[in-house]
Amino acid sequence: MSTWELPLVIFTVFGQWAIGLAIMLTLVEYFSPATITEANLKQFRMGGMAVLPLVAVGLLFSIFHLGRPFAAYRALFNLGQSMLSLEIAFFLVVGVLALIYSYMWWKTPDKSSRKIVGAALSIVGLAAIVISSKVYALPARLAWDSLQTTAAFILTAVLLGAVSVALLLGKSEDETSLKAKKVFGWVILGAVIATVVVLALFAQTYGASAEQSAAVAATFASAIFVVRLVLGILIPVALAGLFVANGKSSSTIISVALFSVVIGELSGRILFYSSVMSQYPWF
Amino acid sequence: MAKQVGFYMNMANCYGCQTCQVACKSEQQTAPAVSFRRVRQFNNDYPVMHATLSMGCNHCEKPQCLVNCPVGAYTKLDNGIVYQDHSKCIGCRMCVMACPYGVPQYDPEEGKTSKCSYCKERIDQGLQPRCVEACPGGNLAAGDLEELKAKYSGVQEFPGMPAAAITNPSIIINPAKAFKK
Repeated sequence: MSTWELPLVIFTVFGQWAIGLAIMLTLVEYFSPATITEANLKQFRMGGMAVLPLVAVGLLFSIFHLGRPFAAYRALFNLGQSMLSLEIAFFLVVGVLALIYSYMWWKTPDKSSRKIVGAALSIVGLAAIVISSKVYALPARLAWDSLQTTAAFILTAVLLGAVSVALLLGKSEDETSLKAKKVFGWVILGAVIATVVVLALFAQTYGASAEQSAAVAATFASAIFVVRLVLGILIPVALAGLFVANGKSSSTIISVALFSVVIGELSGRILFYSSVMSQYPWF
Repeated sequence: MAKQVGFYMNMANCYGCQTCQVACKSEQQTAPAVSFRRVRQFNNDYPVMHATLSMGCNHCEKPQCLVNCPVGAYTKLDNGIVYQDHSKCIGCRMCVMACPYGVPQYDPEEGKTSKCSYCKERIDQGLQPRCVEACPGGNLAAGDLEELKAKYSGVQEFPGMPAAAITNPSIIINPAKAFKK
């Protein structure tokens, strides 16, 4: 279990979830503002306010990863060279923007000016996710040093963000909301298909090196992969199917689906770390 | 060209006594979970093979520990030693993940990572690294890499080892017979 790197798992997944949620909310505000009605404003407000605690949980857990948590501030000392320093710097900016964004949803939910903050948060957040993936672009660790890592991190944000906004839309059954649900259904389906493609590409690297083969085997032979497959892939596909078909689904179903996807993504990230870290020392 | 120190490892003659490992541990007073120099074992049933390779830090030309450390704890000294300022370490283990050779080692008790310093303090006194001095078979040598290259022939990698192209380690290995084929 020590190779699961749980603090890093929670930091990356919750950070990406927060950014994905902000991106999806901002997209709704820019491209389909009519989706947010008086009837569902309360739900959207809760969603906007949830961005900050999600980032906060992520950042808090990133500190638990350190052997010397109280010296965490020093992680910013090598900005010019270390991707990890850059990642922390970007996530701190994300934290500040999330604070403003969630505050605006809390205090002034009727004002549309917060979408500018949402756009800034989305752009910086997306950059933070890409930088986060580049932390693992280590030439010695082939299983991590790949565009698949970047794709997987972005897809986590897209999937969790889309399912979260789907939950906010749960009770709304007006025409605009049903249309938005259909769009989110397609987004969820697209994200899941892309995730399957990323996994297939990773599986294809079996044989590239002894370490890589062991990482691939450790991923697909693990019982955790079954959890990832069922909760993180099959459940969201079912939810997407419901949305695309008729857009009608109960909040309970979407809540269960969101919970499943979160557990599925956490399982996938555990495999990401443990498939490599369990091989230490590599030589 | 900048000076670069390095190690020569005569794997072909190494019989795995681990005196270098014990001497290093004694000299550096490392924690129970940490051993700056480790004797790797290579065993195979068919063809039958048993070989050992003593390795500390390779003080690479392109050290991945230095590039990835978020606190800038690593520096490359004028003589090529990759040196860690232990007081700066925050225990993020980025160097552990980045090093192809698994050289930096994390001590969970201390919450920090540390690694071989090429016995910098001994070198400053004109002495040899403790592992080199201790090897009963004379299978380790330390010194300027160019001088070592002039004196010994060998390789930077053999099958099963990390690709030397990643960091260009300052090592010359005379591989065991099984790896010469």
